[in-house]
Amino acid sequence: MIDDDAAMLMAVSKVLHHGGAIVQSAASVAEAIALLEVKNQPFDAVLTDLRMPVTSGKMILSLMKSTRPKVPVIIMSAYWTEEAKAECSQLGANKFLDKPLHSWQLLASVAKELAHSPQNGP
Amino acid sequence: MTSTLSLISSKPRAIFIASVLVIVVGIIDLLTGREWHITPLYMLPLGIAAWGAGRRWGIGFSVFIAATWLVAAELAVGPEYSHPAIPFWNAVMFLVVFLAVALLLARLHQIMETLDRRVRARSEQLRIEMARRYQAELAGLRSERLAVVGSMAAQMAHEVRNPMCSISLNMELLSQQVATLTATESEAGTEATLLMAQMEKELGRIDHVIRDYLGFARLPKVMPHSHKLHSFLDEKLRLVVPELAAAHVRLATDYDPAIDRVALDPVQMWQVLLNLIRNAREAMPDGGDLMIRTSTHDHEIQIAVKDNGCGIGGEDRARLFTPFFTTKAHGTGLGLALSQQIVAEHGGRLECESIPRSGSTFTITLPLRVCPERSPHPKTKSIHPQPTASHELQPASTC
Repeated sequence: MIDDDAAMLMAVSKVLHHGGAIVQSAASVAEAIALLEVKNQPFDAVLTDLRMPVTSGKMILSLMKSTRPKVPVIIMSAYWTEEAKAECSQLGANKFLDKPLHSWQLLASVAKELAHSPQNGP
Repeated sequence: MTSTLSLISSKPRAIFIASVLVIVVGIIDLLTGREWHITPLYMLPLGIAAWGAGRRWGIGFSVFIAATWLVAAELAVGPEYSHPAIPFWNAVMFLVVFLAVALLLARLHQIMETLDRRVRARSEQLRIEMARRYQAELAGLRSERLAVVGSMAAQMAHEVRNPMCSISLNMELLSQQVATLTATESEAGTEATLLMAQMEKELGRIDHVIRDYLGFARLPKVMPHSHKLHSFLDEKLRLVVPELAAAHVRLATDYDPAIDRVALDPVQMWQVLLNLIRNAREAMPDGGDLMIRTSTHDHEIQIAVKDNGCGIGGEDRARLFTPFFTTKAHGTGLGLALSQQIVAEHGGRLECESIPRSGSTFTITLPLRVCPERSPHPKTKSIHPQPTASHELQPASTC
């Protein structure tokens, strides 16, 4: 889970944790890259905010799709433009989520993406 | 000078004044016994006639005055002339002078009138142009203001929705904790749950305001497609029956059977109708009757939303569609402005008629035009008679 907003990061992580997930959180794209590449940790799914200072969520999306294409990437944003959605779709985003959202929406979306993920396939 | 000219600006008045003056001068001429200095006085009625009544009357008065002069001359000093033809010759000379003066004055007046008309026309054009420029300037200022609202809304959406999201998620977690801690139904536990539900509702309200601003600033492109109007209305209206019933509002429809398919964007048109229906419900706090009526006139169809609520006063009605104008305690003032924008995007118009304490009718007028259908096998009918439908709606089973 990547979000520059600490409160948001904590809230989403807790909801996912309550839903039974093990969550690694990163407060910036740089921190997320360190987790993904340096520590080479395995992930079933990546959730990222779109608008973040310095580097946006699109950077993580392209990185994931080039290095771990089977891992679903869910992009969250408080404000979507048609252009941003189209660009994320082109980059291979699996799901878009609007903020604010309910915990059941978050859990259901993650569960659905995990169920459809090729890495969990037969 | 201007008041004197305005006195003879009326043709009949100029003719009357000129006639009286010719007779008066003629009598003076006769009584003074042919004094030559009286003759120039004839110019006065001649000028009035030529200026006030035009070229033809000027010529006529020239003849009339010359004849009057001749009669006066004959009666007063006729026998004293050395030759009987002299007065006739003098009369002809006067006639020529009078004609020249009359034609000159009439032409001068015509030129002045033409110039006056041109000046008036130019002034009117200038006034219209100035009004147009003023309106364009106002529209420019308004669209500039709305653009600012748009970028503010986008920024606000990002800055406010992030903390809202974490508050909302934390509250849900907190609700679960409270539920666990107060498993037995204690008063404190029930109150905590109620308070959190209230907080959740308020968060929803904040999000609603942001959505309103975003929706107004960034209206999605309207995609009209051919839809069966009455099926669309019935399907959507079923969704609001429960909330209207809870507010003791009776919903009824009166459909024009001549209307079949209409080009509309169902999502956005429903947004307009829902807004009008909810406004109507709020205008009837003690309940009332809400009628959805369709009709067709001159290649246009109309959907009217009529309530018998409190109505809208004249001043408020004039500003109804102005962005940010609201009479509600918690309104953003964007609902009707956005609705009008959506209807305009459909090539139609949204109008309001209202009588205070009697009720209001909001009418959506849409052009009746053929549009592609979304179905893979498009049909091309536009107007098709159907059985008259006037009924009370029942809630949809899914509600």
